[in-house]
Order: sequence, then C-alpha cells, then structure tokens
Amino acid sequence: MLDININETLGNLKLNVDTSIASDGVTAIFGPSASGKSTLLNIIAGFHLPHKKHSNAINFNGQSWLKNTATEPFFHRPIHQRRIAYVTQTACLFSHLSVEKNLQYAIDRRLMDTKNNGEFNNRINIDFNDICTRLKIHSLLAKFPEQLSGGEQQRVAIARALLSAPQLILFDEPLSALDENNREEVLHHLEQLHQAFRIPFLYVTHNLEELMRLADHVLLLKNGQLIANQPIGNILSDLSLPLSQQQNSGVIIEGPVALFDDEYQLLKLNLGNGHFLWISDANASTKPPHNIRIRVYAKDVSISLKAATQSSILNIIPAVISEISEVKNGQAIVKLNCDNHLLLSRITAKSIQQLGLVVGQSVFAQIKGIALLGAA
Amino acid sequence: MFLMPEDITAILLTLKLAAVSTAILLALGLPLAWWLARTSNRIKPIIETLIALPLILPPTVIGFYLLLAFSPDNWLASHWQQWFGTSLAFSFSGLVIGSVIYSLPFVVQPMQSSYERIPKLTLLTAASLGANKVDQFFSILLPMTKRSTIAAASLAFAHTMGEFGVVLMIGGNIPGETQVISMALYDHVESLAYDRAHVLALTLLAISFFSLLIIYAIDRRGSSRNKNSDLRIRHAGH
Repeated sequence: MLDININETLGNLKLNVDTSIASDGVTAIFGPSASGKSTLLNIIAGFHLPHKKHSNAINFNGQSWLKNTATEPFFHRPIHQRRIAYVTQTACLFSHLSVEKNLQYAIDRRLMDTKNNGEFNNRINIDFNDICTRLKIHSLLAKFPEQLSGGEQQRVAIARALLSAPQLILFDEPLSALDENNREEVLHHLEQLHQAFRIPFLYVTHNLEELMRLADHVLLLKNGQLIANQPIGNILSDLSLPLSQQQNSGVIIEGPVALFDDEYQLLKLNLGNGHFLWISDANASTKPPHNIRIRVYAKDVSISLKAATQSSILNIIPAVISEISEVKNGQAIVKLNCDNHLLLSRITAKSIQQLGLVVGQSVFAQIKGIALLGAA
Repeated sequence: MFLMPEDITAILLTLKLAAVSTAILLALGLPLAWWLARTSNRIKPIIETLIALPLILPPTVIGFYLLLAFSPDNWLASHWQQWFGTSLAFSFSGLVIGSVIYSLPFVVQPMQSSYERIPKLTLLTAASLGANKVDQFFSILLPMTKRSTIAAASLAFAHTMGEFGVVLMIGGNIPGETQVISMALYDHVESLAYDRAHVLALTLLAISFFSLLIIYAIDRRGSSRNKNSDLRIRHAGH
C-alpha cells in the first residue's frame, strides 16, 4: 500500500493529492497534460523533492519515503533505498554499456542490496533468461543502446526495471515516444508482464487506449487536484466524470471464457445469469485464456425496447437503465446494467424521447462491436 | 648536444610536479565540477569566478599572493610547518599547491560542461536501480566522460609542465627541489649557455606537443564516433 499526501506548487501547478494506492495490479495516473501526473510520479520516485514549506508525506508498505510536517524534522529517503524501478519516456539506457551490461547493472545492485540487508524479496522470482525471452531481447544483448530502435530500447528498459526486483515500478508515459507499431508491441508486453509478475505498476498516461488496456485502478487528476481514485470500471462508467463524456468513451468488461467456437473463431464470454457475449478472436489458434478483458465503446451500443430476432448484430442482451446523462450537442450517454456489468450507450436525445427511456426501465442493449483487449 | 645531469634532474622534477599536480587536480577537480554542474546554490557564480581567475590573472600575481600565504608568519604556513616540518615557500609542496590552483580551471571547466551534458534522468534512473551517489559517479559519470577526463588530465599535465611565473615567485630555483625545466632554461639563457637551452626547450616542446596531440586525437575520434563529443578545450592566454 502506497499512502501519499502530497502538496506542492510548481509554476502554475498546484498539486494536492491525498490518497492510498493499491499494492497490486496497475494503477494509472490519468489526466490531461499539465494536470500534474508526471510531477506526482516524480515526487513518489524521489526524483523531485517538494518544497520544504509544504507539508508532504509518502509511506510505502509501512516504510516512510518522505515526511515533512510542522512538528517533525524533514525526512527524505534517498532514491536508491526505495526499491523502485522507473521507466521513462525515452528509455534512458546507459549509452556506454551494452544491453547485457545495462541489465547486469540492475542485477548487480539488487544483489548488493540483498547482501547488505540480508533480505530477499521471495515473492518475486526474477530470472534473467525468462525476462529476456518474455521481452524478446536475447538477440540484442551484445548491441549498444544507440543501435536499437525506440521500441527495442523501451523493451530493454522494462527488462532492466524488472531485473532490479523492485517492489514498485513507475512508468512515465513509456509509449509516448514510440511509433504506432512499436507502441502496440510494447503495450502487449506490458499486458503480459503485469499478468506474470505481481509487481504493482504505477503508470502515468494521457492515452485512453492504454488506460483501458492496462489499468486496474485509476487516479484521475485535473489541474493538480485528485478527482477520483477508483477501479477502472467505475472510472469509465461514472457519468459525472469526464471520461464517460469523451468521444471514444466506453467500458471494459472482464469475465471468464465459456468456450471457443472454432468454426466462427468466436470466444464466448460468460456474463453470468445465462447471458453471454460473443467476441471474435482472430488469433485464437493458441489456447484461449480463462479470463479476458474486452472493451465496448459507447458509440457501438444502441438500445431497443424489444430483442431484435432478425439482426446481424450478434450480441443483444437484456439490461436495465441505471442512469441517463445530461444532453450535450443533442446526444446523451445512457448507463446500462446487465448482470452487474456496466455498459455505456451514446444515443441521440431524440431517440431517448421517442423510446421514452427512463431510469429503471428494462431494455435490450445491441452491441455492434467488441474489442478483445487480452487476458485478465 | 647532450643533457647534463642537472638538466635531467630538472626534467624529472618537472614530470614529477606535473604528475602529482594532475593527480590532485583530478581528485579535487572532478567532484568540484560535478557539484558545479548540479548545484543551483547561490554561491555557485562566486566559486566559478574564483576557479576561472587563473585564466586571466598574470601568474606572477597568483605567485605573489601565494608567497605571502607561504610566509612563516602566516597561520596557514606556520601550521603546515608544525605538521610537516617543512616550509611551503621554496619547496616542492609549495609548487604543487601553486600548480593545482593555477591549472584548476583547465580541469574544472571542461569537466563541468561535459557533466552538464549528461541527462539528469540518466543518473536518476541509476539511482532508482539502487546506485548511491558514489556508485553513480564511478559507474555512470566517469565512464560516460572518459574521453574528456583523459583530455582534461592531459591538458592539466601539459599546462603544469610549462609553468613559469608561479614557480618563479614561490619556488625559486633550487635544483632537485624547485628547479623545473622552464626555470633551468631561463638560467641557461641568462648565462648564454644556448646549447643547453636548446636541449631543454626542445624537450619541453616535444612533451607539450605530444600532450596536445593526445587531446586532439581523442577529441577527433570522439566527434567522429559520437555526436555528443564532450570536450571543448577552452584556452586562455598566459
């Protein structure tokens, strides 16, 4: 558990964040640019020292990292004693060392730390070969950082972070400097790694796609203020929060796979109560995962009062209207509850009026498109 | 033309002076340069100015003040006398102190600017991987600035080799103790021993030439291989 109470003024930014961050899964720090995301991350890492005139406190699993109150003396745990790893936008590999030596750098210091403190983090078993295989960097080991592409550099940086066996990994928009192909590849690796290693990630991003694919919890920042700290499902579907109002708003749903239909290449996601969703999975030649995470955009969900029987739409499920947002530009977002799974539907104000939609009404959600994000 | 024993003594003494001074300059100058590259302390400009002063002051001015500082009625010099049993004025130790002060900007200035070119995030990343400050210095900073460190050391060495004004003021001309090449050369010219002056001058010229050649060869190799060449020799007149 990471408890933070941070108050800092930096230029025009007034940062005030008082909250607790879960010690498992991916916690995303999300917000528009200049909302203080990176500053918050840098203060947690110890890269930025908040001004002594503000009161600040950071505690990680009972260990104090920063303490500055009126009554007690200023305390700041040095970065190298924090058992963290930090992955930056530009990989920040050591240019005078080969890829292998870069990785060794992290291992050496972890071993030294283990020897000095006599403690070893048994929870996380980190193996050099395993990491290299997972991140596909075996062929890069002899090269120097300047010989690598941006995506390769970032993969090495992530491997180096893992090999230092940290108790927390901080990411500062690690994909923002990459082109589309490299982004996709590194994002894929991050999804896999967060499944494989139970190391908590603290992940700064302003990209909704990354948020939907990676995050379990979200810290929502705006102008340096914390607006919400909730599970991703709540953040995306909360009509009072800005994310549900964005053009590409939507929800993610996680659930168990009931079966894989080989003939049509479809996964069947069990929503419970005898309700299912069909999701096409093009590369399901491999064994389908037990649990999956899917994304449904609000614009892909329409509402009908009767279940259409003759329709090309595969997924039509019963749902109850739980909330209707204010109308903006002739459109509104309708929040639907289907067996405790939430859906958003973006429809016109005219449709709402014509169908007479009200909160509590039973309807059918017609889902035109579902994206399979990965294993959950 | 042969080197006379006294001339060989002068050459060896000069090499010893340059070597000792360079070692001290590195031990002192590199941490100082790193501190200057990182700090935003208010006294930074004052320190930078003090370090740069030898670049514009005539060596005799520095020598004059050092001579005053070394005089036995000065508390610093008297303490030195108590601890080490020797006087600083007209001694090899005094020459080393003078040379270090005189050549300090030739180490600190290029190293400061090459440290400034190392991204802050690189060192912070090293820290997050568990490297403390000393570890960061030896594992990141020193290897990343290897070429400029060698160049700065060579420059300090060559600069100390050719020193004259400071030595004249504080060292005098004691063979085997303070008589360096430039002093011996001056003596020979005064006594119209041009043959011996030639040999010494040529020796100094050769050593200086090769020291500078090392620097420029390193700089050229660096700039052709790596765009972030971290050496710019700032030179100053004497």
